[in-house]
Amino acid sequence: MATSPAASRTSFLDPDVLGRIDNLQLLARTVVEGFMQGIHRSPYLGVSMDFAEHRPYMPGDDIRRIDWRLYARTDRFYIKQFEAETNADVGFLLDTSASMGYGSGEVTKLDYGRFLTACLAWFSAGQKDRVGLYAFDGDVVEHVRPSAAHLDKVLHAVARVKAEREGAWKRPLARVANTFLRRGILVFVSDFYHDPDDIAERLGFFRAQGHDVVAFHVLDPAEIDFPFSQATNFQDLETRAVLPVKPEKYAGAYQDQIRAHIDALGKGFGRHGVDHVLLNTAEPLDEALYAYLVFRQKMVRSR
Amino acid sequence: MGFLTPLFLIALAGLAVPILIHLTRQEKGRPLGFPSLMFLKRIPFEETSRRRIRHWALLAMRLAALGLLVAAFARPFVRGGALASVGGPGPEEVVILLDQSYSMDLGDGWSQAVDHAKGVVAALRPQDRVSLVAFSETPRLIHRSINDPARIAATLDTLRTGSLATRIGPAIKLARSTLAASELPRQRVVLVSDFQRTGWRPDPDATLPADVTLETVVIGDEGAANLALTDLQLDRQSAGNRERVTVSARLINTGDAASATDVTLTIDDTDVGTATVTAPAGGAVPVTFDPFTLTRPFTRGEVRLAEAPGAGLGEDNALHFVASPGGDLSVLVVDPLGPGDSNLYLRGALGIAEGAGFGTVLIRGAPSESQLAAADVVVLNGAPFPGGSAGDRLRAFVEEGGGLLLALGQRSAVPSVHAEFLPAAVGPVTEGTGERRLGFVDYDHAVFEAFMGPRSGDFSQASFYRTRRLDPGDGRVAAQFDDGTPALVEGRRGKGRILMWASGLDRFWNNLALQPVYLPFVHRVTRFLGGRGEIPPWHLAGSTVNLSALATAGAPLEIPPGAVAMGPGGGSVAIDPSTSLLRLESRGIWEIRPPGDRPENPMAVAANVDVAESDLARLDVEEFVGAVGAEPPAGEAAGDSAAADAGAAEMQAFDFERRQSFWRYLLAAAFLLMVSETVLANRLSRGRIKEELRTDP
Repeated sequence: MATSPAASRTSFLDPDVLGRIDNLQLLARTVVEGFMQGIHRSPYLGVSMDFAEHRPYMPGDDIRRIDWRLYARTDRFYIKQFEAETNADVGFLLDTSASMGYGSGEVTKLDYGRFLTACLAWFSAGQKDRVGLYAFDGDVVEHVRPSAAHLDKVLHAVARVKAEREGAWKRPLARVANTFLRRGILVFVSDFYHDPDDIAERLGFFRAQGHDVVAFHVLDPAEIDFPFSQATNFQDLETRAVLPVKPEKYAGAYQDQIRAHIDALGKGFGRHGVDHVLLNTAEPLDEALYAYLVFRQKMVRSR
Repeated sequence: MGFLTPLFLIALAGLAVPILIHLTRQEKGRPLGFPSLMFLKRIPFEETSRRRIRHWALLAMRLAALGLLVAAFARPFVRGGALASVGGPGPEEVVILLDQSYSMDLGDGWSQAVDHAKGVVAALRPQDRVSLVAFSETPRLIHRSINDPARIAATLDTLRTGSLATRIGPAIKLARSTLAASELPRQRVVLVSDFQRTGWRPDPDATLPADVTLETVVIGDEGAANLALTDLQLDRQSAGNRERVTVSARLINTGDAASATDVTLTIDDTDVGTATVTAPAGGAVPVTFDPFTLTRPFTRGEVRLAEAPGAGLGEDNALHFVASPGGDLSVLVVDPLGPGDSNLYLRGALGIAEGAGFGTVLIRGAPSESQLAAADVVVLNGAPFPGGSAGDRLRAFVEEGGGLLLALGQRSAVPSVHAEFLPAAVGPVTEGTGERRLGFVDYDHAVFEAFMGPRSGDFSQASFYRTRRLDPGDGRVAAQFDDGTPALVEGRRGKGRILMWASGLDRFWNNLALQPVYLPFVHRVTRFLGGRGEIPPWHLAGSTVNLSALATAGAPLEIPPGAVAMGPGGGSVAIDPSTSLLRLESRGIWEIRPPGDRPENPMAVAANVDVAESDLARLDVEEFVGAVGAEPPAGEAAGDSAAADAGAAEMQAFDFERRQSFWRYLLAAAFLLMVSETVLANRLSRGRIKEELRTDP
């Protein structure tokens, strides 16, 4: 039975399908390669196939990379920089607070974040980026220093994390700020249940440090639509507080609130130059991957 | 109402639980995890609404369900009233035996008895049935197996004590037969009585099946003092043509202290004498009055006690009698030998009598018409039955009410034309090898009735050497010799009576004339033939008398058709002329009156209570229950101690609870309430949510 490329691609990106793949490495490779074949684009953006720019020769530079033609025209030594040289440290910040353990379907937000992180890490490693990981809740629980050889560590660490504790932003971000020193890319995967202005300001700090920051805002469809009908005691997965709620009465208000929150996050991130990508765990990873691809290209072009 | 396990009622404090839950409860179900509650309004129940009870019906149902549960565990029961009949293992057939004897009238005993009977009826359940039996000497089934408490209560209100004595045995028999006709699974006999010792004689037939519960209700005080008059006797003495009567009685005192009281004799409503006597404690004293002259028939007399506080029962405080002056019976003795040894003893016997005696005329030949007209009784003492017209006259004499005694002897013979007139055919002289004696005497016969008791006459001592053989036809054999041949045969012809004695009344063929029984025997034979049985001055209340057997001084009494007997209490009883029987239901003077007439001095009969009923000594109830053989009711325990009473009360309570089993109904009601509460709560909850959505979109 023949399978259409779209169907094949979708099946590889479907979170429910991915949820049944235990090997995170296999999952990431399958997703990324499938995704890239689907869009007919080379995944090797960092390989030095394309000229990027010239820069003056500095002592210590490899003399083999001197552009002699330009030297002939200008009598100055310039070094040719290719795309491959734009490879950077990519730090993945995966929120593992208890709220990320929520899932109205088979895939929780943490699972989705895990898939996303793995795929992006695989993708970035393919770009010769140095991938690192900060898994955090109230503090950093897993830290993989960025390195071109740390993809496996990142994937293993991502596979280990569990959403158990109450989350916070202050301490983890402080640690990231102290350890992620080189300019690079910070990829936040979180549900961002925090004050929008505060979180935007905190992420904007990294942007001000010269990092490129992208925030993948992962939400479960139940968090967006609030499809509950019967009066129920809702328990906060982090604070464990229990609140009686009548969804029929307050679903609309909730939806307004979450939309306002998302908008506030988007505006806050926008103000601080942070890319904000809203992801629904019920939807395939296409959007996330595509968004990251666009983000990465934009970042390369901007250099 | 009571509770078998009242400690469970402490759990009623748990009634506060539903209220607290109602006021403080949270949303139902397990909490649903949610990433963050920062966007949710936490206003499912306003504080004010939690503190305010919105649905009183729900709260009431919850409280009621809990209360019912607690009450069920406390195992309630009801001792009386309509609810006492609710529940239980099955319908019950109840027979109430209510003692109506006059001893029940002591103090407020009767009202107690009626109240208790009403209580039993009131406690009946709808499926139970009850029979009401009032008894004294005989039981009377008033209601059989009905379920109409109001009707039975109304009947109980109409009942009164009578003049009769207690006889428990027949009542037990009637209860057993009544229960035997019932198909109800549970059966009970409630015996309400003062349980006098004299009212019960062990009787193998007066028992109840083992599965019948016998509930005894003892009425009255065993040690109550009582004065009673008894042993009324009239001693008659002839004084010329008049007759003097001396009245005597005995006063019995059953109390612990001697009692002095006046006893008055009244003749025809006139006090003729009063005696003041002192009856010792637990003893008796005779009372005798001066004789009075008996002048007219059916003279009424009364001996009564003056009203005294310690007199106790009222029914035994008076004795009644009726006396009539007796006249001599005219006896015509026909003896062909004339005055001599052949009639010496007969004449001697007829010449001796107390009070009314016998006027004897001795003739040799057949009696003339005038002689028969003047005679009441004709004795053919060894004489043949006359033939021809004399024989016809004699037959007519008998048929018109005269008496004829044939004392058979050697010369006795009966013409064939008159043979069928006699109750037995006269056979030849029988002369056995030895002396014979009377082997059978019918003590039920009026002639021998007086000899029934011990030491009242022994006919077996008389020897008979020669007799005439009697072949009884339609006659009744009243006595037989020890070889089985008839000795005395009785027959009735018309209004008269005939007796045939197989031997003589002298001492030639037997020695009866030498026996002590000869004199009363001759007197009773003569009086029987003359239609004058012994007229007792009084009868026991409750007995039945044959009015036609009573006689005036001149002639046998004739009861006119339609006559009625007026009782002492004013009621009247119709008398069946064919039987002329009258049952004396109450003590006092009963008057027999022709229909539509009020004669100045009517025929009267006196009735007195059985003094045995005055003995208030009580029967051992436990022993009685054991003798009857029924199952005593659960919880009915003997004993006077408080502990025994408490134990009995506890057992009774347990029995009440076991029979009623209210806890089942309470549990069922609690369950239904809980189900209803659930349904109602769900509906109210849905309705409230919809309402809130409408009002607060």
